[in-house]
Amino acid sequence: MSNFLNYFVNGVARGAIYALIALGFVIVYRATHVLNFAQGAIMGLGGYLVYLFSGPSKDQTFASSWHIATLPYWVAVPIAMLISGGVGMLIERFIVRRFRGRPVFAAIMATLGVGIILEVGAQTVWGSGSLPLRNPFDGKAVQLGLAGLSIRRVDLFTLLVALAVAGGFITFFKKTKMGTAMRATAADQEAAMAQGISANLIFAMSWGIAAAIAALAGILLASGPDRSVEPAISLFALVGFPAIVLGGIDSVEGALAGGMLIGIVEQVAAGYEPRYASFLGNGFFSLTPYLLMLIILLVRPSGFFGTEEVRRV
Amino acid sequence: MSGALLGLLLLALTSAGLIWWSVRDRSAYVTNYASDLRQFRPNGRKWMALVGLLTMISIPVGSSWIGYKGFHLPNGFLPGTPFNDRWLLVACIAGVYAIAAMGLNMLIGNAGQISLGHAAFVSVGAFALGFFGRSIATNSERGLLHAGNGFHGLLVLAFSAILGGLVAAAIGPFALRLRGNYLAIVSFALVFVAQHLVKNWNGMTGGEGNPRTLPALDFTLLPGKTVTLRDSSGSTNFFDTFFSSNSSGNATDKPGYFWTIWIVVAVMALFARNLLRSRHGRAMMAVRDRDLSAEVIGVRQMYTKTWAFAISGAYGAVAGCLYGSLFDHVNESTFNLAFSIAFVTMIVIGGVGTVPGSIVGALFYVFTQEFLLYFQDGLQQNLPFIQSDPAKSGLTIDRFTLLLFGFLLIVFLIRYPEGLMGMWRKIKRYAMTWPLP
Repeated sequence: MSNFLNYFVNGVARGAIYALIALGFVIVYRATHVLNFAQGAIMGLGGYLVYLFSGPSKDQTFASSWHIATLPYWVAVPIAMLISGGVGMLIERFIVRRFRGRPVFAAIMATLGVGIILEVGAQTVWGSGSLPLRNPFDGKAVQLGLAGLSIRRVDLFTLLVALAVAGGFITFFKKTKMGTAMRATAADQEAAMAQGISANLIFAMSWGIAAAIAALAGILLASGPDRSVEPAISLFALVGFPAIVLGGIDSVEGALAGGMLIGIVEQVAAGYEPRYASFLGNGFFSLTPYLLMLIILLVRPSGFFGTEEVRRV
Repeated sequence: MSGALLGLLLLALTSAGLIWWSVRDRSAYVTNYASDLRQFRPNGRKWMALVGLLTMISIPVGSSWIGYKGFHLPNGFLPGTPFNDRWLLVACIAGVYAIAAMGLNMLIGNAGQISLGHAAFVSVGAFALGFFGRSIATNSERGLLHAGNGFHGLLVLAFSAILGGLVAAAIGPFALRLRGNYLAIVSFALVFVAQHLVKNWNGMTGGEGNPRTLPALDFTLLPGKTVTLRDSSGSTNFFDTFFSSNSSGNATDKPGYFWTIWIVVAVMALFARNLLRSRHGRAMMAVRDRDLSAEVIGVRQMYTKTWAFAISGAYGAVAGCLYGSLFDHVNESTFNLAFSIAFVTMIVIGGVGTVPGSIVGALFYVFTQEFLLYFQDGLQQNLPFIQSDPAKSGLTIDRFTLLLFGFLLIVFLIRYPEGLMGMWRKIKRYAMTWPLP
């Protein structure tokens, strides 16, 4: 039982990151109806930008790469998020905007191309090795009261940040004027424009917010005692797809719930796999999100929270 | 030397003349049904086919001739690498990629189903070769369950096509319910499933870090003369009896590979072209343009979409078979997501929805990549910002290639959505109406 709870806690920590990733996908999708395949690269970029501003960790065993300042972690992270958001807005303005009204395939391929350029560009600047971040987290764990149940500090921080970001975004989305404008544009673009909402601004805003959140997810994936910024971070973005399919591709709450669920399922599977399912092969747990997604797609294509696609005949 | 140059010049001039003549030819306008159904439209297409055949012949012959002469590129900017059968192998790889790209192009361009999982089907072909192909002793020693079942090369190609088709047809039910973005997600999930199987199905693939040795495609017809699609253990290729370069020094080319693979390409391209003109092809395009309307006029969606996936999978598997035969080892990192994206890049650059577009795109992709690799040493010596260690920062040739194709992908999607074939169509229209604007 305590094993299960530990796996569960791991899953919650991982799920918080997946929820942020999924949130990024959903924000972009709601605004521009594009699946942002460049998001993985943006996550990696976030990590590299933190490295750029905060420098290498004190551990001297790693060769250092290009950095311009040694700001504290808490200062570098917001800067990195801001710059990533700016990159997201630029992508929307100069590339995605040209694909409005074009087939889905073209937009998907364009974001894939942007992703390749961003990812390889980041590797060109910072190399493809692991760069440990100078971050305040050590390996210490926080006891959770229950017997033998503990959570690492970085995981607890991740969870709290994810909750804060999700809560903040939902408040912004539901209560503020800009959030209402975003929802209005998603519901009916022409009617929203007739009310004086600038659709272009909304699209750029959405891409900016999504990119900043994605960058935060990447930074969190790279923070911690045994983690570092590396090209493999961008692969985590792909687990965001099962999460949004689970929750519904256009539902903010669905993305958060889906991401959390995917994280828990994956980590519990990872915990039990060596003992009970070794015949499925090493690393089978990394497939569980996709298998779950396939089942959901066959049973309920629009996910649990998403709106069903209405097609005019 | 001068005679050969004169020959090349004549060939180029003849080709240019034939191309001009063929595009100027207006008999392509058809007046009755029978002429519409003809494989080669009068004159124009026929001459184009002839030009293609001449080019095909000139590549292996020229390559073996250049290799035989030991022709060296000048030192300095270009390193003194012998210009030998490297380009023949590159042309072979381009052919293999062209087959896979044709399958993907039919699926994306003609049936309108987005797929980012083509690498999975290619891997099916490679391991079908391992299962059905002629056995290699080391495989059974290593405890592989299926150390090749000893079928003839043509049969192996057919079996792997069927197997790839069956695997791909399993996506049919998903394709019926999902479209666009969702289908893209499902199809790339397939790549991860395939990679997991390649890593863990030890009896079939050899497992992670221990890839099985794939047998070569074996085209032996007569006993006593082994004919395989790989340069190993003294076997000679069937075509080499006609196009062998008496190898001295650097020239060790095997034009036979080129012929075998490009004949398969030609057959597959002809099949694809005729399929697209058939009832099934038109059904696919109807589903692409508007699946609901297609269903109203009696096109069965389930059937059409499943067939589109099956055919695409079969093309991918045939390509995988040839790929596995050329390179005796494949592993899970061969068939990753980047491999899938490479095929999509090829068809976007070549031209979505056209058969020649796939071939042109594959040739462009592979030759661009290989030219950059070929000039790697020279570029590193002469351009200080190009370096070779991938772990360090800085531009390597691999990174430059990826950046270039990412950039080209976006540029083509924005400015030339019809790809290189669209450009060619424009040139042709210009030539046809010349001298009028």
